[in-house]
Amino acid sequence: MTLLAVDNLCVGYQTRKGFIEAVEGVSFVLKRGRSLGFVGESGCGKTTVGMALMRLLPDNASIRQGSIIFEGQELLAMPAAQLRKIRWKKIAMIFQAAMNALNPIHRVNDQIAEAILAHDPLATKASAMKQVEDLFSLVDIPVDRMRDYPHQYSGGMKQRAVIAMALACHPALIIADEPTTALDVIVQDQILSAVKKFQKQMNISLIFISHDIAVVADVCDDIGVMYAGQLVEYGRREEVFEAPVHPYTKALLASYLTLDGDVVQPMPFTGVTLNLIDPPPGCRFCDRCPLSDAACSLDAPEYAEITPTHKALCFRCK
Amino acid sequence: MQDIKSEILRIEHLYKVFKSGRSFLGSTQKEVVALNRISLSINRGEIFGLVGESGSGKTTTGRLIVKLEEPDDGKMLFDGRDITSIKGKALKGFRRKVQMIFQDPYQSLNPYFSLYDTISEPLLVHNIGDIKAREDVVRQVMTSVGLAPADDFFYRYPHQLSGGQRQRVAIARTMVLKPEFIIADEPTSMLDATISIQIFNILSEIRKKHNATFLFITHSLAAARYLCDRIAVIYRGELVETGSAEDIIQSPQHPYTQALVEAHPRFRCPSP
Repeated sequence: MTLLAVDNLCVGYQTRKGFIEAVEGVSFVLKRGRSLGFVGESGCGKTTVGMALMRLLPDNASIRQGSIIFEGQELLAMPAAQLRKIRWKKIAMIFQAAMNALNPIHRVNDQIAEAILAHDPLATKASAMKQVEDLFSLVDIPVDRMRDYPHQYSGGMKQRAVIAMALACHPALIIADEPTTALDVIVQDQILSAVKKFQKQMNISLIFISHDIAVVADVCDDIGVMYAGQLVEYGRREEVFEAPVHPYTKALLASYLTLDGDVVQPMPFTGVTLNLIDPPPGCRFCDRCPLSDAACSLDAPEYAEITPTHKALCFRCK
Repeated sequence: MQDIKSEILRIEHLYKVFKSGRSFLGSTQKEVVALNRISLSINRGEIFGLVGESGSGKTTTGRLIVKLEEPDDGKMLFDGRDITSIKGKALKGFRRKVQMIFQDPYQSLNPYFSLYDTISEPLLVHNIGDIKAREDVVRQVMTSVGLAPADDFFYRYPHQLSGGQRQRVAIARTMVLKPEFIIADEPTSMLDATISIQIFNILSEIRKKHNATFLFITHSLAAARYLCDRIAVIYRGELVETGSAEDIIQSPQHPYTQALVEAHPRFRCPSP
């Protein structure tokens, strides 16, 4: 069953230098209980997509086109009061800087109980606390640490607490924006296990945003690769990782350093990321693409369907 | 790599304690042992990796070597000479040979300095060359780290640069003195994977060209494997394992190293 359908989403930022086309023509569908990962380098628009879904974009941003249908309702046409009911109750977010997402002067369990009380009119203080206890055991925080203040937690524990807060109202969709970027590999591994566990147990849909392609591969069923504001490749995990077609996806996979196999010379990237103020009409990757020719810079490519679930934005992969 | 292995840096039983939680009357001090008597030896021309999680003491090791911190015990020898407690002129001479690239290029560059000012500053401090010669050195170094054409970048400021470009500036700044020994403290932890590779390649290029020695501090075993000849794994202030990068990753001996290898994300497509 379709939970979220995004069609032709275009988001831009008005800056002093001009209008930045940060997200251009992004479309995808997320079914209930599935997970979708967005991967790409900084500035590719992956966080903007997440923020647009929450309608939490900064003031200088505008959604120029497209639609976001969540549980059959158009989020882009929804008035603010109604949106507030959906935010956190239906769509929750785990922010990038989780370390700063907790209020330093309140006990951690109080903060999470507050979120429950704010969104559930039937909850009492006692029932909310009971729920917090259950959530903490789900994310593996010992019960005797519940009443601590955030500064008493390690980075990994803060991240777990933020995950518990996102789960507090049993949302249908969680958007996790780089939830493990600041953490060590061992802690990252634990957090990813926690994410996979709650996603399966509570049947929550997940949008997972990361620049680490292996992390996305670990957590997500479907993968969207973003480059310069566009979704350049989109498909099931196996399709994207085992049979990538877009040259950018291939380069991204080749530049990932692993512990297995031979030490290969990763493909070095040349050139710089495109300036997204008035981008040229052609393919946005063609300057850095090893396969491009003159035609690539003339017209914008259209999606090529490789399989019914796998598409790529490239002239070269038909 | 080289025929004769000559030692450039030797650390013996280095010990460092940080005191924290000082109360008003100074009675209840908490002591944290950051480095618990570690010893290691680095050969000229090699890239030596120091791998560990945050709080393991890897950055402290780097800061002790460049003498930004004083050890509480132990000895450090550079080129056979004891540098544990050098001061004044000797210290300045030492710092000309040993440079550090810091983790966060968003904080390590002075926002009020143009790139030319930033990169040429070490030359001024050490009083090297005249204006013309300095300009040539800066231009040459900037080109070698990929800030080309150098003249276009001379009068830019850090806020006009991307993270990867900033880290190139930080590397250029260390390279103008042609140091023999460079400590790179997580130089890519703030950067994307694709940009990280470029930075790694610049570092190995520098090693090849100038036969510089590197202490590469990282939390990523994969990065250490890509770049380093030998690595040491540090855990809670102790070196738990030292050896060739390949040996350590293929057959980790210490439980912590095993956990580190196990936790590294890999492309496993779990069966549904």
